[in-house]
Amino acid sequence: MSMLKNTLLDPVFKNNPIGLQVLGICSALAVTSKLETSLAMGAAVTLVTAFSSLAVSLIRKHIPSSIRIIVQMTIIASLVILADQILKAFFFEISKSMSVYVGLIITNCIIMGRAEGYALSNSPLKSFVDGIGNGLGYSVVLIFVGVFRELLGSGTLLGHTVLPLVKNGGWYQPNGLMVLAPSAFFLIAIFIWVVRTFDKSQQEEI
Amino acid sequence: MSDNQSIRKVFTVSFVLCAVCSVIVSVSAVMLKPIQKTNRELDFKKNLLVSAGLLEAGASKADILSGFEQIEQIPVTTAKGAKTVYVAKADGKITHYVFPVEGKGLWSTMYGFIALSPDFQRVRGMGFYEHGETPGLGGEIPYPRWLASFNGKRVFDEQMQMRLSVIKGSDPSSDSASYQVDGLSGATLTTQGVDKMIKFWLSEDGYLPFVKEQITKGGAL
Repeated sequence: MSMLKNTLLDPVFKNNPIGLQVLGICSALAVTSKLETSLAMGAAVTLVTAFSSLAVSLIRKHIPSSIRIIVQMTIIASLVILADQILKAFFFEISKSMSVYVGLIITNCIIMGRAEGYALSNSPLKSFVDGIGNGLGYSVVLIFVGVFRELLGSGTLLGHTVLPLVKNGGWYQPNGLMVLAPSAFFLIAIFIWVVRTFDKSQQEEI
Repeated sequence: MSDNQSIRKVFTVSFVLCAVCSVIVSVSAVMLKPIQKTNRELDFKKNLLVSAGLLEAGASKADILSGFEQIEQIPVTTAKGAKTVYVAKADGKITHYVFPVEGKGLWSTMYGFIALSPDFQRVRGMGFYEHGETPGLGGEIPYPRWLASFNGKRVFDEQMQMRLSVIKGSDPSSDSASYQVDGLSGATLTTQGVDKMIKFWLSEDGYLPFVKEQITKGGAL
């Protein structure tokens, strides 16, 4: 049981896909200007990673290694289309604001990385938990970035005003950089810095 | 395990996988279609009302539906086929004409609305409800920050020539400034698309015959 717990929790801080492996940065920049889209993106990626790892692991003994990447890609692509359809049906506004980035989950290196690096050689249950764990690790970074970008860039959290803006008669002058994608680079860098300060084993040799 | 590499196995695995995946994808697409259609229709109505300035962006479903019931729909024939002009009224008087417009942007077709004042001389609002432009650049077209710059712009001159245009870097001192909207920076091709779209739909091929007919009928000028 503790094995499973480690599989689940290790990727959140100890072996974070964004923090340590620096994978999946592109979407972390694109959809994090609002917390709401960060949450939706995190949930979508977590589910897709979990189920693609599960599916790959279930048929891992039957996948000919010559076409294994194509097989993984097909599974991931189908799951992403499924996620896109569900978002369009039940979370229309969010899916609109995420526009093409839902489809681009297919290209998120984390999902492919977990399928190729973990699910191909582990049992279905472990792969599923590993997928959830990595999805959570990704989500933690997205939520961290999303909270700061929305709060400092628009003065709101999940659309509710927290810092009243000057233009609406409040006192807070929003930081325009936070609305733009580059701010996510700084925030991710700060996240990596903080994590590596507390967990020295993640520091790289110079 | 040993026959995993055989050509036969490769074909079987890929065939079965594709069959299973296509069933999952098609079933989800077909089953969720009705819900998605309702969402899109609601979104269309909401954007129509918001671009005409009749509704706040965060309005509830009930508000949207009741707001839309107040709108009169007039069928119009254009060079691009049958369209509907939406007429908003308050206390029996026309407040806005809302024209659905569509045109090619940089990547795909942009769909939106342009709302004009009852005498067709001023823009009352602009909105987009579907597009595929670059997020962060041309993808900024549906946001109020830019759309607000359309409000109050003049459309036709005294000779009923359509002069409204979206250009790069409008000059506020020129005499055509009141007809010009500054385009989005970093999105030249999207801006040109919006410009062409407006010019087309307010020309003889678009809604101009309807506009002229309304003016002669009502003597609005």
